[in-house]
Amino acid sequence: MKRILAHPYVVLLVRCFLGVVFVIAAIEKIAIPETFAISVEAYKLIPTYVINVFALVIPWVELVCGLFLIAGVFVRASSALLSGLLAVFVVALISALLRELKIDCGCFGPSHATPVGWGKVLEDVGLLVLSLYVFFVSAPKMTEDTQPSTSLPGEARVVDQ
Amino acid sequence: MNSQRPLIRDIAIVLGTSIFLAFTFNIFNSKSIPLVRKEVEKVSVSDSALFSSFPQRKDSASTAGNEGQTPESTKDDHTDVKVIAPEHDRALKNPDSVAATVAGERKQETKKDVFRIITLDQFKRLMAQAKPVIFDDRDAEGYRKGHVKGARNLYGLEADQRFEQLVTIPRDTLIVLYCNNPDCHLGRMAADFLTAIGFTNLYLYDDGWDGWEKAKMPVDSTTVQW
Repeated sequence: MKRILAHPYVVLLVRCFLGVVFVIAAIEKIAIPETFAISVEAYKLIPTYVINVFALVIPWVELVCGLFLIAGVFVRASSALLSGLLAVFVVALISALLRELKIDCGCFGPSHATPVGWGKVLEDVGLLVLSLYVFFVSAPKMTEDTQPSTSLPGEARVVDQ
Repeated sequence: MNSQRPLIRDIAIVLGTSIFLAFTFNIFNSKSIPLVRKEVEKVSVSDSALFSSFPQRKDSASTAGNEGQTPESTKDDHTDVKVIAPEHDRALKNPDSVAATVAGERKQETKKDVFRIITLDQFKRLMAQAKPVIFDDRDAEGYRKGHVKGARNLYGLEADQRFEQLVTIPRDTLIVLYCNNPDCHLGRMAADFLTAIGFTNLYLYDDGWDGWEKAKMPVDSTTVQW
């Protein structure tokens, strides 16, 4: 199982899937930031005066991280950032559900408007698991040049320097 | 620790790139938003303030709300109305300038977006006494399924696409907008656009379509043409 999970093609597949999902999620929010700002505002979680900055930056983080994941550049940083974002989204969704807010999730932009629900929470938890998987699988110790099990102690010290 | 340092550096690079692109794109985006968001304030309108200016029923929706006009001027239809829109000619030739004009207007506004909201009873009385122009700000699908009688569809997200038709309406026309419910933003977006192009007599029926249906009010499904 561990071998399958660490297989480069599996990692590539998950990376590309996550990347495509976040690129799609970002495009409409970037094109019409006001609608995403309104979605964020509806959650009533952050002060009004920072909503626009949040609504401007978050979709770009999604887009840049998504593209980096597809391209295989800054994979750990991108998956770490997306994991953080997804954790925030999950908390926000659960909080909205507990407060019985009947609002648009704001997940994929205005043309894919979906109401907040437990299905969305599960969706985001699933994406969070995939993102954390990419993060841990792409850890430096797992890569060939720094893998301790395949390196001699002396070589490992050279790498550290 | 050694492996964490590049990670933090990489996160900073990715985050910095995103922030830079976000702010740069926002400068050039025709749908750009200000960095600081204004608070939305809804003000209930009292009956006395709302109805004191509509002593008698008027016949044309286009002349509704033009209180203080002479009897001669209330007979005018849209073709005789002088359009108070300084950017009108330029905007019609160059649609992009609409967005620029609206963006310019928005920058000059105060820190709060104030919306005057009315109740269902007030809405009904207005319809009977003043014949307001009614805009349904939901999407076309919701509008097709049913709407308030006489309402035109002005989808909140694409209100600017109706600029050419909107500029033919006198700026002091009484307008009532509605959306789905108090949480719905489409009515506020349409009101923002109408305010930006100079309309001054706007009211938001805040309970929206949900409130209208809940009260078992008549539903119309004939599309009102622009």
